[in-house]
Amino acid sequence: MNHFPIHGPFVAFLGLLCLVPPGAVAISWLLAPRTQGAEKRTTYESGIEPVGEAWIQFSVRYYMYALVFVIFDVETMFLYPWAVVFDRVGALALLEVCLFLFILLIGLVYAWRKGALEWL
Amino acid sequence: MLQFAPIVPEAILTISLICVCFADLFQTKKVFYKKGWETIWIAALGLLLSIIALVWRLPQPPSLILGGAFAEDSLGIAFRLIIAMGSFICIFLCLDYFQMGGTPAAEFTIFVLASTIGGMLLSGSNDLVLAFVAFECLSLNSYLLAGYTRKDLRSQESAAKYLILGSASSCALAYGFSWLYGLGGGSTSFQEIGFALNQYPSVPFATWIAFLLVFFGIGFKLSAAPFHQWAPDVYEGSPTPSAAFLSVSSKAAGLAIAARLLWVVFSSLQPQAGQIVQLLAILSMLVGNLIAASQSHMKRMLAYSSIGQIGYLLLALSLEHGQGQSSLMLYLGTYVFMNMGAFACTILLSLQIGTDSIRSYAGLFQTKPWICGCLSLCLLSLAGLPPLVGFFGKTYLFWAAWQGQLYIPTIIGVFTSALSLYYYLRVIRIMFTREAKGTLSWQQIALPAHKEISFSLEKKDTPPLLTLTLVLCASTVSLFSFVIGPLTSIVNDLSFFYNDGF
Amino acid sequence: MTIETVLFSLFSSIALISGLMVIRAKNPIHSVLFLILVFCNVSGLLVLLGVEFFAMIFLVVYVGAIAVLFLFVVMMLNIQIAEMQENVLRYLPVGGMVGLIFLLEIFLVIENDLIPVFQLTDSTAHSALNFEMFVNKIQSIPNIEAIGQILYTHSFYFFILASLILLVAMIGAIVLTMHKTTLVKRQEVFKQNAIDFAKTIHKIRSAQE
Repeated sequence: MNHFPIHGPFVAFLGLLCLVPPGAVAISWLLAPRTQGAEKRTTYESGIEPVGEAWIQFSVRYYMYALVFVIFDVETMFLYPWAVVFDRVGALALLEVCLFLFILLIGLVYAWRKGALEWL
Repeated sequence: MLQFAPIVPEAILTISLICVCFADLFQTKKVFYKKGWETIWIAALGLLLSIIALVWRLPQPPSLILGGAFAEDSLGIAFRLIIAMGSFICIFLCLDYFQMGGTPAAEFTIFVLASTIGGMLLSGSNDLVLAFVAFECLSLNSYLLAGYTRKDLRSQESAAKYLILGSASSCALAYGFSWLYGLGGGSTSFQEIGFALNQYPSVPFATWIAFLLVFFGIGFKLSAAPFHQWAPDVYEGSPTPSAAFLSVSSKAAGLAIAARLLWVVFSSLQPQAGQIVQLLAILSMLVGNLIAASQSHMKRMLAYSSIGQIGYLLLALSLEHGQGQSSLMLYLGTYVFMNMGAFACTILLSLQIGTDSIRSYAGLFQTKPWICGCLSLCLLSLAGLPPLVGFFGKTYLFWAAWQGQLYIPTIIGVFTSALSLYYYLRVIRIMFTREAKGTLSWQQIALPAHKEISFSLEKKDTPPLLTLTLVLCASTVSLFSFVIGPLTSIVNDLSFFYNDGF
Repeated sequence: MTIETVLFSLFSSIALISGLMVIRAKNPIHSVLFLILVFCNVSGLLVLLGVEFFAMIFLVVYVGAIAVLFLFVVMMLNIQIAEMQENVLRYLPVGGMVGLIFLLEIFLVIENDLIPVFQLTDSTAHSALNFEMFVNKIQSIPNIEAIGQILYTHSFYFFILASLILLVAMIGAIVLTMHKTTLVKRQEVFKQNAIDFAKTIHKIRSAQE
């Protein structure tokens, strides 16, 4: 059940990645100048006193962007295996992927024509 | 390339879907509620070609293609034909409805085509993965169809309800499929799973878990009785053409996969599994027909009536393989036209009087005799009165069930179908006998989505496509009974699924 | 104790605790963030199982996209924190029952010798369910390659069907959320920017003539 020999580079990468976020935080903690005071703790609202809560209701519009993003995200996942086995699966697979992308391109053109990519 | 001939019908539909997308994208008319003619015709042409291709494939010997994932057999083709015909009629229903409601019809045809592709692949699927992907393709589009008129709050509500309940049922189905995958020894092919389940009968408990989970998922799609609660709300809220699609094509696809699973995969559970389906059938017949009698809304009534109808169909399904399928197909084939006709009349009347309430149909026979006559024909056929085609379908079905020694379910079926006559006749009686009262005018009751009706109605009183569909359905319902003998012999020839006699 | 056991305990315990926190957190945003933590740990577990492609899918699709969707939904619904503190125990009977069923099923699969109720009738022939160790089948090549070699050759129709589903999902998302009506006068940025001075003058002149 030992799978690590295959994933040697992966584990090394994982270890490296685990160091990056703490490293970034640590560097800013070490280098940044620190000041304390009441003014520092208030919310910055362009010089105006903050009103109400920070939690505001988003427009439904963001949601559509997120949905379209999910769809293209899933589309990418379908293409990863193809990239890995590109040299073995041949020209027919290339045609299939082109068809796949063509069908999804229709979706993109649809979004464009219907004005879903515009803001308001 | 000849090996892909069995999926030519689906390929035609896919191409026509893409054409519909292009036609919708590159049309120039600015007024968006005028849109839709081109897309409707493209979709109808695609469906017609697909039906022709299916008829061409019908006499072919059964075969497995796509590495065993898709089975082409006569029963599967019959189910696919029925799904395609249901969608074909549904396409014609939608244009006038959406034009008067001020919603573009192009996307509706896209969703109908995509869900038809899903349903047809589901009917032919012989593989767990294809079955699930096709099931999801069908379901996803059904949710979109239910919420299509998004300006209408009730449509939104019904879509949300359907989406949440449907996702739960899809989860159950996926979980059941994963059990089947494990029990089948790592194979996704239905034959091999069925073989493995027969081979190792030592684990019936696990097989039962898989069976119950899978039939929970499919029973939801069929709106069979314990899982029927979503149906009336969704039918009432969703646009009427969507409701028509859900009640015909979607259910036919669900029946197809249920039949294949029951007869091919779960043949080792057979006597008891059939009894569970019988239980669903009895519950559906009772619940659907009893509750339909107290409905005052036409679409709700049709929803409950379709629950009752699915009970009859499940009764045929619960028979052993070799006895049930011809009566199932005959009844399903007639059910498409009866139900679509009833929905077409509902749409026509709601466009003309602005409401779906049964009470407001009072005295309509005097002003709209033709529509009321067609509606009466379809409803009486649903009830199963003698000269109409529904009578022959129902008689054949009950006869097959009696032959299969399902005495009690058959008696309940006959009893409930007599009961159903009450609520179908009630609608007809209201239309024919009552005087038209001073009801609210339709402008006052009309949905928010129907605000544009006023000017459309003055221009043309009878929408041509809807009327055509209505005439088609009503004439089929009344004339097919003359050719019921040849029809029955054809249906008897469409007998078996591929390679399932274990 | 191998390193795999340690990692397994680490990932699964963090996943369980954060799963509990998803339903116990008062602030829905915190719930979503804990859900992301669950996804990350599950993808670690998937790597331990040897299905690294699915681990990647978990990170890219679930953490990258679905969790963002959840965050948007929470922000869109504008739930106040006070509303969330309702009686949670109300759902305990149903949830507990479902959980119990899942637990029993797991026992049915792996440890059926330990529980007398589920002991098989014919224990000599098949002492356990005839399930496969699927991971062993794809041991020889990384599973992203295995998927690639099947998906684009034998199962290409799934691939095409998937694209169709994605297309329809996209159209559906746009149809359901677009609030563009013809009644609202909108700013047409492109047209306004493209207005040519000479042309405008010309138009007015021609209108006067």
